Amino acid sequence: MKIPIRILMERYQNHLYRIAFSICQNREDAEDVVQDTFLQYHILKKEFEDETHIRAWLMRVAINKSRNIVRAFWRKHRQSLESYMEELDFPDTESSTLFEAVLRLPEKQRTVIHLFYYEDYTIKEIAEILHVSESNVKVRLNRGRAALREEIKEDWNYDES
Amino acid sequence: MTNHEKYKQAFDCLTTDAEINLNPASIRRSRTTRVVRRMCYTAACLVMMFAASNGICYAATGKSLVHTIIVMADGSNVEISEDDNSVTFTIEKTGDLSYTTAENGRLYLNLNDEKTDITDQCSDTDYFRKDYTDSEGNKHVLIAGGTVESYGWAEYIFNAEGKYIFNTMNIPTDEANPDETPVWFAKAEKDLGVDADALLEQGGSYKIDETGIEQTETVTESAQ
Repeated sequence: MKIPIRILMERYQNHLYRIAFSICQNREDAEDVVQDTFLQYHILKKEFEDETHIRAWLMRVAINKSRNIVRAFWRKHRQSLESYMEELDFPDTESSTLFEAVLRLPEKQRTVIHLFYYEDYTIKEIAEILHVSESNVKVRLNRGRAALREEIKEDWNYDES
Repeated sequence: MTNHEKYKQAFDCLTTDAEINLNPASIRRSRTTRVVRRMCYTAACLVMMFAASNGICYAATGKSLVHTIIVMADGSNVEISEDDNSVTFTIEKTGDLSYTTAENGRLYLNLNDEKTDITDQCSDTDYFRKDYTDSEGNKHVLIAGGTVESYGWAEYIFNAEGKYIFNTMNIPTDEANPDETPVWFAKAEKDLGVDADALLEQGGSYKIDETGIEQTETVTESAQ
């Protein structure tokens, strides 16, 4: 199956933006990633099993593109993270503190944390998206959790799993 | 509130209403093989005094400015200009950009008029490597990998202190998955310590190198 791109854009544009931003850490690069990801889907001659498959594919492509952008040494002037954060409308200080703490995590942990806590993917699904082993995902997740607990203390609960 | 709820509340504020462009020009751009080296022209907009063809010099502008020229393996010059706020890379392409060629079912490295058969060292999962040090003490690492059907190369430059400066490359892309990195290339970058993870660990998106200078790309008109 292949879902019309306009429907996917409506459903997943912000999701892709968030995962891209968590890696690139600036708005312009993240928007470029979203643009290019949807473009790639648009031109790709590939059938998918279902929407879950499409969503996972979009995530993986956005993550790869984000990493490639950060890796490229040609980069344009971008708005700084600090000034962009001033524009964001956090509901409370705990949210902004958590947001900053997540962005300070190493990228490997940050990506897994985001896929787990925001996108509600299981460890198995995250492993498939990132093309790594499940044990690898568990290690990154646990390290990310520990780092968040260390940084924001009681604002981050102990996870049971 | 659970951690999931806290996390979602924190990241829900991240939204975008940027227009998604799906026009043919954008589609053509997405099919372009990733080529980092490009033709640029340098401008005489700064007054420079050069000590040598490779050298460090300072602009007579009053601002702190560092200007370096590095000669690439194929003889092209890369000018690196740094001031307090930005780093600019300008490449003057002088040679035919192709360190690797495929002929009669074999893969060759072409360097300094020498042609080396590297077929047996290259595959989808392995690469050929050649190191040398230039007259300024910069270390150049040339890598080439892949198969006769799909091959690529990259040149990495490290300064005399061993710090990674920049690279140029021509890496094949798979049309179905243009952002998937060939295995041999990922392995080479990891071996050299210049893979995405290593670079990402160095800092955020606006602090690329150790001195915190943000790299920019500028193309200026030729004074020639």
